[in-house]
Amino acid sequence: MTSGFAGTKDLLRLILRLDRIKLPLWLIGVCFLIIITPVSIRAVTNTEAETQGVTPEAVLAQQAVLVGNSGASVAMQGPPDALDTFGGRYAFEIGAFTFAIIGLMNVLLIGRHTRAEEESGRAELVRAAAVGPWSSIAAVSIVAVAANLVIALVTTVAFSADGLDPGRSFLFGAALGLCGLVFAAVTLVWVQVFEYGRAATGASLAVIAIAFALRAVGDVQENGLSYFSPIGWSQAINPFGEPELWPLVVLVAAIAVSFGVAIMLVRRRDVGAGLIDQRPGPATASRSLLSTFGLAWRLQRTTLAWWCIGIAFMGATYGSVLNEIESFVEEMESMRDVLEQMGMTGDAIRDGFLTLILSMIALIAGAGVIQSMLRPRGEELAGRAEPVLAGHVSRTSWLGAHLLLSVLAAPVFMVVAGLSVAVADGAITGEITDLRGVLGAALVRTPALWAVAGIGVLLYGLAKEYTLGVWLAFAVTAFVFLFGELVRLPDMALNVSPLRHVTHLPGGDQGMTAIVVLTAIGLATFAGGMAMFTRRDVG
Amino acid sequence: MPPTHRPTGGIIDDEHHSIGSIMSSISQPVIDIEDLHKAFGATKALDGLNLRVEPGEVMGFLGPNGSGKSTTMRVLMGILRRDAGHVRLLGRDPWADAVELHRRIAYVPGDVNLWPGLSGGETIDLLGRLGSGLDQKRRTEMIERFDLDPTKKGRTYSKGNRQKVALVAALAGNAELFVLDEPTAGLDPLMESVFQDVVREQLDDGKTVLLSSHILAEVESLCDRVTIIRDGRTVEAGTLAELRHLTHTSIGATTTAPVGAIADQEGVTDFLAHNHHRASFSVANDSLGSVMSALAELGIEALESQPPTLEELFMRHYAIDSPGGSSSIDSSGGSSSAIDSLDNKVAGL
Repeated sequence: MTSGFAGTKDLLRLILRLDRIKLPLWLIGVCFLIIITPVSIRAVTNTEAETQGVTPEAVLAQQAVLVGNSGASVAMQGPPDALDTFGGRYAFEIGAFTFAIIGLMNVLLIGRHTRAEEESGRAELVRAAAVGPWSSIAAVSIVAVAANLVIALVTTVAFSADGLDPGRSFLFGAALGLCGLVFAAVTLVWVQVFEYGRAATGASLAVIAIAFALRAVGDVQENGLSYFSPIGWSQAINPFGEPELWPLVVLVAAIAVSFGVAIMLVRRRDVGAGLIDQRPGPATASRSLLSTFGLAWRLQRTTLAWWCIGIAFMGATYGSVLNEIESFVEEMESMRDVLEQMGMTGDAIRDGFLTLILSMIALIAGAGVIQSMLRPRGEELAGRAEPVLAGHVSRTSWLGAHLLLSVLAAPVFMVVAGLSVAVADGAITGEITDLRGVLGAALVRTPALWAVAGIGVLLYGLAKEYTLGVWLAFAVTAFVFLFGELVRLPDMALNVSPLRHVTHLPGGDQGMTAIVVLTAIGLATFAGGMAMFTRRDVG
Repeated sequence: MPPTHRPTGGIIDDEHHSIGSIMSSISQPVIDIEDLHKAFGATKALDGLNLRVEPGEVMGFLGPNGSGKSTTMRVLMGILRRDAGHVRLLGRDPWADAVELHRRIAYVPGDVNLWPGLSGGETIDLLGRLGSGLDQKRRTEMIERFDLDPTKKGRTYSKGNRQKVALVAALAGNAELFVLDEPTAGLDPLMESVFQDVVREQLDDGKTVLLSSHILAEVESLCDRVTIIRDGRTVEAGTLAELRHLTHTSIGATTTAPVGAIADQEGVTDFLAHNHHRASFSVANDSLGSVMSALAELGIEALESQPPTLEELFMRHYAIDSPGGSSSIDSSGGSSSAIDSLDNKVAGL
């Protein structure tokens, strides 16, 4: 049995060497989110308490009613447990989204060290050495366990340093780490099933999306759906209220079962092969393939379709609770009075949530547009740009074909988002209201996506090595959107995020300038990047 | 040795005498590179490379790994931008006129990477259509001759089959120039011979080929002339016969008198005495006469002589310490004068 794991130690070193930049960056990012939450909430609460002349706990209790009764927050963050405690509030603000981000980190980590290595043929070199069949899985699992342990421990330390009970803090840290490991283990299974890294990663991301959606609907409707989601299990631990320990058992069991299935599947397939066979293709190309655009479309269409499906799924998830948000508030007399004093009616609440979810989906869709924009870089790195550019194909035509798809993807994604929200809401209420307004509100967010992706195009035109810097632009946009208000960033910093300038309400027409400026930025960066690309070396 | 019926010499003569405008337009070199420089950061990939390919010939492009062959070809294909130097491809600039030029050129890159999700047939059609065109009859013929299954997906092809896909896409077109970067790497001997046949047919149609290869038998059977580069610089260019002439002959001799004295003769290197009367050594070809006289004086009992094999020829150029011979790698003056003398010889043919 030990020979099955031969060489694990060496592979472990190899993974750490290959991943010495990506994984630390991920960990720094995730830990930053976790550390900054207690710091900023504590500061905000203390200030508020001073102005009101009450204790911070009293402020927390006031806010607990507001936050806990906001269906929008519940749908985004998780069950409103123990919100009158600092720990509970931190856990809520860190929220389901951070669980999903940690899941993403795990999926990508597993994907790039297993299937991607096999796909490139490098795994064959490794397996030809004195390396056991399970060594690669074991090595990457050890790295995943270590990474999630770091997150758990940092959480424990950060929360304890804030003055919270170390035991409860660790329980929350464990919830984050175990949830991450569940997604890591699930990815290990998918990489055995699919021959293609892209497909395996995609399937794993779908698992995260489904887990997130199940708990969003479950938490708002309180119908038990959350119990089918690893994120739901982790949040059910409720470490700062009355802690439950059964979710820990479920999480560990899920990890063990998935890991066991992966280990079993490894021996049932060839190195480099999946369990799903590949069929032969046509002997000749159809006319539609025989152009740069035809090729780009062929290479991108599957990914773009999956993004549409994911976005529709997300839109439908939120759309289906839109109506709930409204009644959520209306049922509560006290809440309605408070809101009416603030000048908000039920409609305003609904619109506010709609704005929030459209921006949220726009952010996710932005990742899709960036992925499409990165496709030419992938082609170049794989050496597949060279044979095409050796044809009578201009650089502009080759890159332009790919980028045209990225440009078109943005409005298509947003239309899918608007449609899915409106239709899901209509299916619940029996009537689709203000479809044009919703679609319009979704579409005005398009220029923000162009502007972010444009940064990537500019970097790609400069040199393929810099291109991934576009994810930094994306991360900044995401951080400002998700946490900017929470950590009280100054307006100037908030305004860095292009999404912030196009948070239109349905029917609203504010910010025409922002739309024009963002479109102009998008246009200029795409054109500039393409111009620079025609002047640099390829390959 | 290559067949001799090709019109190379005639064309060079035409240019040499620079007659009529029509003839000179024909005789314009297909590839003309002078003093080409290309650096990647601090690494000098090309450092004053010269290459001249005439219409209708197969130019063998040789050199050790990493000497700059692929870089040169990628500059020619407009994939890389040159830092300095004169480069003309079919009389035009390979960077500025890339798109127009590529209608007339077919290229097989050193690393053939196919789209994993596209079938071989789709890839051939795509590269043919975007490249130098595709003749349906030739496409069918090439697929048959190279014994390729066009329905398999790119990811399932072996190295040799990936190579075949690229070759079929290139050879089924209407290109007038073929730029082939180690095109037969990974092909089996049967396919290698199919490749040589197809290239010869292209030559009969008046096409030109720049062929980089490490397979010396292939070079010997296909190439009219070869250019050898090292460290991004041209160290030798000429016909194989000339290159042979410039180098050494291996001698094995058994003599009546002790053979030791031969070691001191001018032009003798690699002297190895098996016993007092038998030795093997190489002789620089211009000293062959005097060494033979010396041997005759010792009383020749047995004598074998061999022209240098291609392997020996290339080893001399590839090795870091090239012993004597026509090119001294480290002194650029020496190597360029060797080229000059060769060019004179070629021109004078």
